[in-house]
Amino acid sequence: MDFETALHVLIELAGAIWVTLALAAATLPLGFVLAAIATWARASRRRILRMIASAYVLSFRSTPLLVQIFVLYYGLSQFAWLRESPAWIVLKEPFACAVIAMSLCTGAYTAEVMRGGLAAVPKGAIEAARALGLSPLKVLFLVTVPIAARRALPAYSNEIVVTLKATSLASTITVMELTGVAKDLMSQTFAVIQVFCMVAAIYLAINTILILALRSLELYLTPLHERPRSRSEIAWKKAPA
Amino acid sequence: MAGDASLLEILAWGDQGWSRPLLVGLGVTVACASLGYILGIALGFGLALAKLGRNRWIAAAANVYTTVVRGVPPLLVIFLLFFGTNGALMWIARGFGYTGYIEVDAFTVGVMAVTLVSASYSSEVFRGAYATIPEGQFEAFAALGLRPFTGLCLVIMPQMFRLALPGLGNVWIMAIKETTLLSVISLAELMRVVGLAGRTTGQPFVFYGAAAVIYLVLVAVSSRAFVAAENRMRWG
Amino acid sequence: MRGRLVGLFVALSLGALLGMQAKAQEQAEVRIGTDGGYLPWSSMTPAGELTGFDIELAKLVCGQMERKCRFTAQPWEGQIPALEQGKYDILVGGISITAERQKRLSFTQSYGNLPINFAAAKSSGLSGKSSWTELKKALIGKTIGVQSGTQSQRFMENELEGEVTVRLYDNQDSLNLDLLAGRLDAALAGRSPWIALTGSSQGQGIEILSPNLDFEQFNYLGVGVGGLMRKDADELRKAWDVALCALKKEGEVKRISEHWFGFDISTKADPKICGA
Repeated sequence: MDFETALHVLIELAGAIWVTLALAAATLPLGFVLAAIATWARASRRRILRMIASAYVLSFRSTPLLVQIFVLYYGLSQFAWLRESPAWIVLKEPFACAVIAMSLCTGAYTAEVMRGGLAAVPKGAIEAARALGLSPLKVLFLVTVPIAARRALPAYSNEIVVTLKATSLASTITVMELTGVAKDLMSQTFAVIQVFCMVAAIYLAINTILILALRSLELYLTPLHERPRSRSEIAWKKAPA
Repeated sequence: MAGDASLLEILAWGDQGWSRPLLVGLGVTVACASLGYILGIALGFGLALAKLGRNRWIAAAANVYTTVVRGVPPLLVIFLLFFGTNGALMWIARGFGYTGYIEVDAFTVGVMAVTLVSASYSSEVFRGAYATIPEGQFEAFAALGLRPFTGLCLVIMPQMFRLALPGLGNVWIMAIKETTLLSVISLAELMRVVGLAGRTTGQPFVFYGAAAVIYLVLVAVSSRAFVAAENRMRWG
Repeated sequence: MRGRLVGLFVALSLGALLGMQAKAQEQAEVRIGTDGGYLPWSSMTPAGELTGFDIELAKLVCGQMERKCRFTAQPWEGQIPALEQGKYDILVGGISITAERQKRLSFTQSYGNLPINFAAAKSSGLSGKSSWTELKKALIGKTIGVQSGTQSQRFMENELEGEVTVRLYDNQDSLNLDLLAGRLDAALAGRSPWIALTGSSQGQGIEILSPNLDFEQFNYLGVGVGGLMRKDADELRKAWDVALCALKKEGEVKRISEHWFGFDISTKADPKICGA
């Protein structure tokens, strides 16, 4: 690939970074809200709510995102009544469809992350808070949520990175994010491996920044006495080299 | 035009229907995912040990590996593996005077890709599991007079596996989904068959719907197995 | 401990080596790569057999060259690096010849050129335009879909860049679905997929827009599709071209194109290659 082509490719790709970031930025909060609702419903006393939420989590975790996007975008548009309803204003737009499909998917995964975080909250802490006379709502927001959030953060940061990478599937429904632009450039220039390596470097850069930032957040939220190192030193200190 | 064939004809068993190719595709998917998953867990366990070990360089290398594999789109891992291994093999062969084309077959590359990705994720799962083992356990085996190595093998590792099980279940789902991308290197797994069938019959929804159901069943059944294993391993 | 780790890695890499079935191939066979999901150029039957215009033509070429051929289906993204690395000798399947692409790889002579047309819903008010200038005026500001990597995409870049919203699709089916759903005001593609769509029951509301965008008016469209090869494969390209010359002369290309497209898409024999 000559210099001119490389420059052209880089400029085109740089322009698409924003679309990728916008997709992720719109998807993550929506997915988080969906996950919170699902988590609440799964803990609810009503059987029907629990069942709906569990079915949602199971079905969206077990089918490939590609299929979900495809069905939401091309599948729903088959119905004439839907095309005449107000929902079509939103569903007509590829970007909106991509965000909805990805939010539903990441919401299901995030619900699992939340469940894991909640399960890791020691019962003693909750009982202690109750014994101090805190109201259930206060117990939830002052004790349960902070502890659960810290426990769930590593898994949630994983989910953030996965979502960012998953935005690449939006190109299958004509959203021209990084991968979509890259595919077009590959088809024009035939420099498949080179273009792909450039895209990968961009994804890697974004994700590394994300991973490092989330890791320092994790460390910041961990109390001093629980920070890593001490225990592994007990284990390995005497291990034969 | 094929688009007007009935559903029954499209899904029939035999030369004209797509049932058999779909089933073969499913077989390839399951074989590739499970082989890659088993190898990936073994490699991931090694990586977790490397990260927890005292040697700072080995730990750093393991961390870089995990970050890179997690940070790069999975499709690229597959691409680079396929064209990279072929290129490397041909380069070596050229040194011996052979100039033809050599290829590592797509299935092997698929297994390798699933292995690398699930190794990266499972190493984090193992590391997390290790971190949640209470400190008392370490002090307990030391008090029993076990040597560190014996203690790790007999006391810590079994617990590590038990604690890692839910996380490993997620890695399995990821392994299955990873295989959906392997069609680019001409591996005829389920998703490739679905795409081809959808396009040639002009009935994409029938096949994408079928794919959704098949993957759902596959994941639901294996999740059950993981939950059962978790319950079995829970004691006390 | 470290000794064990090294042992583990050695065992794993040995396992990987055993799993490799490195196979060396004979050079005598012509290895042809194609997509298999790109009707009517290249598609696949449930039994796993490749069919389509390009497949049938390539088989005839192989017969003409008196060489054995083997076809492999692989999605488009993977084909180019595989060709460059030597997995294939030639790629076929409706691949448009462009100057940009010729920088890196070389093409056989063109063997087909599918005329392109816009299509839109009958209610769109875009029909009945007598010239391209008139249609162009009506299209400004609209959302138009094309399949990526095709002549249609190049047409959009040359004629309507910046004046319409272009959406790129992986395949014709997705393009059809969005045109039917009304997400697109119009779509540009080869005439044969439009004939198929407007002839089907679901495509009754769609019409092919005049005028035909012919090759004389837009000469960059005039090249058509060809087989794609590495630049160093001179020998095969010459043989392939000679075979194409003969097949064109015999009217074979015309015959199979009528079978797959419903009309003649074959291009004239290149006088530089085939002689006068």
